[in-house]
Amino acid sequence: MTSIYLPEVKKFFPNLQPIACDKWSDLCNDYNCIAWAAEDTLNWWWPVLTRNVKPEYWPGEPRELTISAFVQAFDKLGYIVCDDPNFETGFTKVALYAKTSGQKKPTHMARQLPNGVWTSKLGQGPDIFHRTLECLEGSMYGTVAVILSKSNAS
Amino acid sequence: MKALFGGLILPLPEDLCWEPQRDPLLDWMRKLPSSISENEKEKSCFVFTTRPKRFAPTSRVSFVGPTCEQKELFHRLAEQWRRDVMFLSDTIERVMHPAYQRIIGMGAGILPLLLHEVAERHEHWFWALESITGEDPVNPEDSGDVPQISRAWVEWGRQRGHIR
Repeated sequence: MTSIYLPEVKKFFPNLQPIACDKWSDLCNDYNCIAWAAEDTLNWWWPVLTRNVKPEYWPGEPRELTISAFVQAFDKLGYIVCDDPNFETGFTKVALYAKTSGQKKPTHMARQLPNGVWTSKLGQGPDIFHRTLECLEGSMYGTVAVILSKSNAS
Repeated sequence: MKALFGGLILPLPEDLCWEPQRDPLLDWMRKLPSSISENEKEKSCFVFTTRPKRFAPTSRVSFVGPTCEQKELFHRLAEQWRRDVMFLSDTIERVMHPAYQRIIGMGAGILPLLLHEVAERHEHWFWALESITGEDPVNPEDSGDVPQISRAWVEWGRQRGHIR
């Protein structure tokens, strides 16, 4: 697998501030950001099918590129919509990014780690760590549209 | 019979014949003079036609692998596609990229190149493979499982002699 370095990533995400290192995981085509948010490294999650059977996994209906479809998918994992992206002990939070073109179109997800830092898988690119959600906002992923939260006790 | 090889005209072995499960060209390449570098072998392209001994005399079998130009174009387009979609998860956006669509338009000659990328890094050429071949060897239960989908396509390619 190929490695990717911070300068290459920063071309697309100029607001990104590195944490601890300037080199992250290798590139991997097996899973994407949505799977990474769902703590699944075995599947490529996406609601819209390109044909009948293709690399996209999605946990049930509806299979459409809407915020509602993502909220319903993560509802199956125990997540509910919340307003606050700040770290709360005992909860795991995920953030859904979307771009506005007519209606909001989901593009990316990030997950908050137990130390409050966010982690993202950048498409087929590396898994990275970022201090804030704003780090990845911009032309590539748009802005954060929804925060979801689940209790670690559940 | 002779073949053009890296600018040299070389005789082909007498027993050269095409078998679906075994690529005689690769075996033949290994027997080439050591004066020809591995790099040159890799870069060289072949178009050869032979009359296999085991087939009926009237049946003529042709094997046309990707040409140098096709390889070069494929790698250039694939690199452009990777660079542009690397950070995207949206499959539709990824496969509708102009470079990906141009690769599909290159046709069956590049199947070995696509299958190689699938085998090596599980790269998402499944949509292209299905578009070019009209086939789908993936088990419906494996939806989302990229390594398993890759294995299914690689096995399909082996069975049809596109890759070893």
